[in-house]
Amino acid sequence: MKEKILKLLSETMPNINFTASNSLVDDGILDSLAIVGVVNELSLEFDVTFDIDQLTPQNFNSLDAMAATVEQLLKEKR
Amino acid sequence: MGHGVVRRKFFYALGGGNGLRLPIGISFYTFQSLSYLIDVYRGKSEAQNSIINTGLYISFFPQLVAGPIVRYDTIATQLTSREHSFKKFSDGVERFCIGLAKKVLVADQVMQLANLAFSQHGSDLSAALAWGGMVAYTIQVYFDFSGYSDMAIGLGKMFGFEFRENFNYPYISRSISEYWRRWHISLGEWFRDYLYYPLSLGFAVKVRRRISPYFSKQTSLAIANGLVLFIVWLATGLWHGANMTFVVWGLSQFAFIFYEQHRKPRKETFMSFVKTFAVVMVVKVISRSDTLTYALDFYRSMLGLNSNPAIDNVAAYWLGQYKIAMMLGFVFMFPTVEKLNDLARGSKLSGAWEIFKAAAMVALFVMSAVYAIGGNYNPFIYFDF
Repeated sequence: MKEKILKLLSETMPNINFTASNSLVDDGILDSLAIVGVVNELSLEFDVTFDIDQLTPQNFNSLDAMAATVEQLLKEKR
Repeated sequence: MGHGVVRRKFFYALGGGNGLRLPIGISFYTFQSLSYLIDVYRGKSEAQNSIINTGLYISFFPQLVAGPIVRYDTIATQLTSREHSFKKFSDGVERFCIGLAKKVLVADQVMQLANLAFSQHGSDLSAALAWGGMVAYTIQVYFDFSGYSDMAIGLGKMFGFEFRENFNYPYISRSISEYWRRWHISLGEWFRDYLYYPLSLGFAVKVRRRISPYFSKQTSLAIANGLVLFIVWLATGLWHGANMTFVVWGLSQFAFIFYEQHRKPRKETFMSFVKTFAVVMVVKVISRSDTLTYALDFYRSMLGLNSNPAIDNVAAYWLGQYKIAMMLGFVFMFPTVEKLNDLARGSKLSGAWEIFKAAAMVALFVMSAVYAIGGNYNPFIYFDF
């Protein structure tokens, strides 16, 4: 899941290094505009809908965290 | 309003130009009330059962008319249990004095220069006065509005409330996106949480799904998210006033932020700060002008294209008259005090610096009172929003 997300995001947002840190949001690498880009990409690819409460720094600080959030959404869908 | 700065034309427009009068600060407490209703609807906050507490939240006087927009979830527990202490009260008084001084000693002074420049026709305006007017307005609007926020936060503290900060030295920003994380923070976050995020989660995904067969992944994402950003900045412009100047102003912010998001990443340097500050000042001319034609004329005067002189006696006299307030503004709109605090901390002079600051606070208050009583007081710009 993590590798798949990395491949997806590096294709659509090549300007951002998603492996640069495990606190992407807190380090200022991902701002709200970039988070929205990630959400759009993941929503489309995995056919899930994010909830507004899920747009927290913790959920986007690392690829692991993003993968966990997507897994959670997929589980809820089933 | 007397000095004719920015007018809340939106609601006048609703009144069909018949002079429908609306209460001051309506856009602030409307947004504040909306945040309460939406948070309760989303299940983020529990509904308030006491009409007194709800009334207090909506009508708490320090920030009622010009912000910060206090979000219900940040203050819900404080409505019923607050901690009062002498320290908190004195911190509040200090903060209030700083805000009052910003308003009376800097904003209201440089305002005279800005008003003089912006009350003249392009052809009568020398280039020096146009540039001076632009810088003066840039200083005025920051000291006016952040001064009000300081006073509101200070008064809140005196009553035991902790409000979040509304400004974080916006003029040191190295991009327009950063500027909006430092200027009028409570409004930026409001639009982010109640318009930008909701539209991005649903609408933008739908738009992208629809257009993705025709474009590359990168382009379709840029279009879908760009569309949302466009809507948000159009709305932000209209919040400031339903006037073409504010529509253009909002869309210029959209254009800069969209560009910044899609340009090649670069190292931020001192030049990034200089360029950003220049853009911020130039764009402020639009928001200060009554019409787009006037703004264009003003720009032409700055460039000397209106066959106007570079400098004349009027400009020389007025720039000289307000040079001290302009310099004070320039020094304190950057984190100068913070730098001095850092230097003093841990040095031998730290005790003396604290005493000096306390004395300066008293002096600021006395001077502000003298100036205010002297009749130089003018209402806050953001009362009109």
